[in-house]
Amino acid sequence: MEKIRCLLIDDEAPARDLLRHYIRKSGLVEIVGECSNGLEAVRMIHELQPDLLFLDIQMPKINGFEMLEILQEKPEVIFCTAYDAFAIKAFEMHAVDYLLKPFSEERLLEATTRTTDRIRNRQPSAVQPYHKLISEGTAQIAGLTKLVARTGSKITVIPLDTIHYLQAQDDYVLVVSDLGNHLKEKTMKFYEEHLPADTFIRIHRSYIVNIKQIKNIYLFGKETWSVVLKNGSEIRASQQGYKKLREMISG
Amino acid sequence: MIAITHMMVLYAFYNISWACAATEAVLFNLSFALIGVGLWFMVRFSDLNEKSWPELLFIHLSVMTAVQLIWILPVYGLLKLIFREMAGYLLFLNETIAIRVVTGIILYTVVVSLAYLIVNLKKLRNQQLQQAELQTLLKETELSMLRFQINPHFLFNSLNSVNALILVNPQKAQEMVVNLSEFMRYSLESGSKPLSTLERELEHCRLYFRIEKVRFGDRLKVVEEVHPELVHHPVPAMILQPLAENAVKHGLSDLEEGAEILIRCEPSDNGMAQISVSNPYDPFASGKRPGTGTGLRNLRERFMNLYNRDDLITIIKEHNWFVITLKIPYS
Repeated sequence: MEKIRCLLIDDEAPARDLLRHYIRKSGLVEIVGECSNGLEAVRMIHELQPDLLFLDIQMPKINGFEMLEILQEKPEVIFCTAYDAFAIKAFEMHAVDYLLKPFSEERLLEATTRTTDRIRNRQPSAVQPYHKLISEGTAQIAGLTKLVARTGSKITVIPLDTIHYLQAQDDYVLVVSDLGNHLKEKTMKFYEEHLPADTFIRIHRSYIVNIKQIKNIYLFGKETWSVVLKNGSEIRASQQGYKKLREMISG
Repeated sequence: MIAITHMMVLYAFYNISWACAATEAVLFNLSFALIGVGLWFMVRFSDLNEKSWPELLFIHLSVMTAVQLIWILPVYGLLKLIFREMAGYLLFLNETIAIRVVTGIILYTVVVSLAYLIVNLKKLRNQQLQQAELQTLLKETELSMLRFQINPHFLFNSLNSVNALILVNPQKAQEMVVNLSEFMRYSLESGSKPLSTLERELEHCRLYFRIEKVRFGDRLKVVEEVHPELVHHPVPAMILQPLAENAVKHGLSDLEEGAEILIRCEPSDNGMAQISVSNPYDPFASGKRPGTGTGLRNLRERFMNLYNRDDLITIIKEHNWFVITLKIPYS
């Protein structure tokens, strides 16, 4: 039987030492690589195509959830975290495997066996339900202070204040920023709920604007307003959206 | 006063003789004054407040009837005995019995209401006093809670490192356990010893860095510049470590290449000690981490509680450097 290939992702060397030791001893899976941050992990996952990740959530550059978010092919994941009330609740809710540091050897074996069984039996991957977990995780644990986008093999970290506006495009959201245009596989509703509400306002069914980027607003047609941004682009605001904007700016 | 008014009214409106009017006024009012004192004690020392409304109503009606009886009957008897030869006055007494009963009811109500008012005011004042005491107590508890603040993330990650070290480097694991214990001991002690010295605070910080170095390896570098004069400067316990933790969190956890953290202590104006902790940071970093902000917020609250000033903590973010400066008055 072919061995399941896994990648260890943790920024703390002792934590990797421990994982490596237990995993090697168990012989359940094969370690194909180790890395200490999310960006490196994306590259290695692309290169090595592991079946399973042991993933720490708190890491430099981009955290575990943000890393998962930009992966096209998501391997199975066993999350490792020291203490995180939200994450633990979310893990329980989505029935994903996780290890609470410090964990026992038995606990690791248990989680690994369960996950490898799932991979072997080609059960509907638990990764699909992760989708929601990842969204929530990125928003709640990290707080949306930046967006991470991927174009081909290029990963771009978009700081929030460089964003001009977000535009709905079918099943995607187009993020327009100083760094260019990026598509995100998310909903407008998600961004409306999770971006800082004092800066980002849903002004239209199809638009969320960064109010710091607004230059001026004028009446465009019946119950429609035109919002001119500092970079020169113009987007629409509905009557309701305009009302929200006015309240925000005057208040 | 009341007795004199009573007498004047009798004399002026009812054509009663001076002697009769005066005697009646004195007898009625004196006796009611005695009864009034009784009523006051009744309200003051009984548990009337705890009774239900119907019960209370019943009690008051009974007491009122009793008061009427023991007030009007003896006085009437006495007056009739004293002035038994004055037919006019006796007639007047008989005619006005209804008025006396009504007056009795009014007097009873007034006295009891006043008594309730005074008792409740006293209770209110007591409650306010208690509340103030509670507030002080709360503040003290809060302060010790703020001091205790040990980041669970740090604790569990460190324990995880110990777990790993037991396998790969048992001697280092032992070292780590000792360091962790000493670190915890100081943190816990600060609950009962709110005042420490800069030297002890720095030592606590070094312990913290030693523990974190095991986790982060060479990525963590610390430089200390301490003015020798200041080592005995009294400072509140557990103020430096939260800053160190903050620096590690932002300077290290977010920067892959690691960071150099700079701790500088120097004398400042008015005999104050100025302590600053600097670290580089990544402006695009992963954003807020669990517990972020609480450390600094706690510190601000503690300073507000201790010195009642909000100008002792300053934060500067410049050229990707984060510098937090504390000024500690000599106390």
